[in-house]
Amino acid sequence: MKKIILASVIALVSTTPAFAASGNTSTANGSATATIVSPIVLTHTPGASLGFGTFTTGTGGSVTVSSAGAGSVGGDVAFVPGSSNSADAFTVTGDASRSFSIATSGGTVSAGATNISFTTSASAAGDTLSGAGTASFTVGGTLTLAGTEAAGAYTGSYTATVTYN
Amino acid sequence: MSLRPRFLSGMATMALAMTLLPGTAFAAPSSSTVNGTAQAVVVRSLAILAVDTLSFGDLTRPTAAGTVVMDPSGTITTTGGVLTSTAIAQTGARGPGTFAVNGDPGRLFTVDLPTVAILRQGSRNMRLSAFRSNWTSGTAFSASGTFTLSVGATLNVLSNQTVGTYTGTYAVTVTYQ
Repeated sequence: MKKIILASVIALVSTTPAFAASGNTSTANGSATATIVSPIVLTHTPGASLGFGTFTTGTGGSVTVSSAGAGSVGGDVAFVPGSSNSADAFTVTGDASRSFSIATSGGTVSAGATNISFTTSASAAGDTLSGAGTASFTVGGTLTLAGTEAAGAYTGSYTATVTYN
Repeated sequence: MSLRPRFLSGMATMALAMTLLPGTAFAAPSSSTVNGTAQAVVVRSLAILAVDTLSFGDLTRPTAAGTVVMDPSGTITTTGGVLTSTAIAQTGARGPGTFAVNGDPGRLFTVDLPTVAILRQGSRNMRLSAFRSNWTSGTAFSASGTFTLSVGATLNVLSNQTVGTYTGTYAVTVTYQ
């Protein structure tokens, strides 16, 4: 009797894996992926500046500097002889061949308590980093004059931001 | 005294005859047949097939450790260092892992997910934890015997994690309940 009971227990145990293998369960391997890329870094080119030049305001008007650095005046504003203009310049480093967008703010230049507002425009709304992971762009802008500003040297700043697309 | 045993033996004979009579009547037909019942249910085998890669897309290297949490619905949330260096969704698609599961219509089943999996890029690695899916207790196969399983997980990114693409696998098991 003992032998019979033992045999039946063995049979029961060996049946279980056979049953599981017959389709009661199924396993699959899924794949997973994630990519880490270099952060994007914006650097202001040393010595570069958005230069609106030297001018008389007259009854007011504007000075515009293209992102290529060419200056022009509007209204009653006139450049004085010897005035020069310049566009600002930035370099970008990051993940090779990745595209990014460029945003620049307006700002003010000040001398004492007097502020003069300007707007900016970048040479492109966005770009793609080279195979070496570098890029560059320039920034021009428009300064608006009321004609009441005191003579003097005005300085100020604005912000530029690059973001991966 | 001499009558008594004879009387007793007569009673005994009668009792024996009475006992035998119904037995003889029952055995009268030479054979009898009835139908027994038998049943077996053949159930469609469970099958799971990987479809879409669990993809976290592209992430900017964080300066502090952080996580990217992929919900089975595909919603992404970030914590820690990854919070400020926002994950970039550009070239590579981001989304949960999906599996096609086939089984017996209406039958309940369970899903086993790993606790942890490792994504590797050479000797570097990132850990996947807190796997989760759209399966909930009581989920049964549809009338057509199919179920689309979506799997999400938490990606643990180290501070200054080395740039590059990390890949790995994770096992998902389905079992009839």
